[in-house]
Amino acid sequence: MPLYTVTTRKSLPDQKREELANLIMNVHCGLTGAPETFVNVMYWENAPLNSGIAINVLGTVRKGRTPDMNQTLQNEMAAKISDLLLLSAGEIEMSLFEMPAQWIMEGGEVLPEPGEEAFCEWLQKGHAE
Amino acid sequence: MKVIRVMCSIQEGAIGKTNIKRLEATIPKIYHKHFGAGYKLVFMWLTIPYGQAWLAGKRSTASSIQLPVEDGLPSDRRHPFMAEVCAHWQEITGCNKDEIILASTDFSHYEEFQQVMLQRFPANKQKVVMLKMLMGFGKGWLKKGYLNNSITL
Repeated sequence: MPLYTVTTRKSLPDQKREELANLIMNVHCGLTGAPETFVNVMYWENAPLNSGIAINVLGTVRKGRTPDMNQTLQNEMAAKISDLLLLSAGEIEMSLFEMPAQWIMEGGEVLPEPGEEAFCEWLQKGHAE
Repeated sequence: MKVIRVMCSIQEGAIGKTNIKRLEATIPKIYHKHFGAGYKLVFMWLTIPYGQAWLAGKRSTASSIQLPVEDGLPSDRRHPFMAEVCAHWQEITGCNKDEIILASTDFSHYEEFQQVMLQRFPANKQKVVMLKMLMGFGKGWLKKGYLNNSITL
């Protein structure tokens, strides 16, 4: 968590997948302060999308951030994706779905709430990057 | 009997049929031990082709499991269940603790998430996509003996 599900009509070249996965990680972590360790990106391809849409990005993120932060995250990520893939803003669908951190287990531990990573002993000891 | 769809996303070739069958036998026992016998777990395995999953900017080898529980289940009941599922998953598959992501959300939240996933597709194509996915799972079952499909539509 977060898990970003990227859905496209056609298969993206491997290089673009890697660049996009890194872009998503960098934007997410840069804005939220979340550790990079658990940023997942999954590509669903050959999918039908709404008319005029080239890519749909659905981010499943930990609940607890402000609506302003989530909006900024969506806006900035969509802008950077637009630059990377040479798409117009109207060709990108971007949304977030919030999930309580306490319902997720990764690295054998329950995830900390957003903003509490620094107080999370197991994360600081072995998982923080 | 309440039917629970367990969605498991796994890397292509990472878990063989024998271990999938062991997981399908073991996890319901854990579920029943923690929450009672009134649940039937139906496993749906989504295979992620090579290069289509990334973790921390690198190719991912992790599996993710969506295994919902009753709404409002307190953490002191939810977390021991989750820990036991993760431990058995590691034991059976031989993966390390960083290669399993378990989401045990409330049922209602899980259903909401499935709807959001479906809404990625145009309204007039959602039924077609659902049908295609279900047929894919059926074909996968005929071929491998368990419900499986690829995330590439």
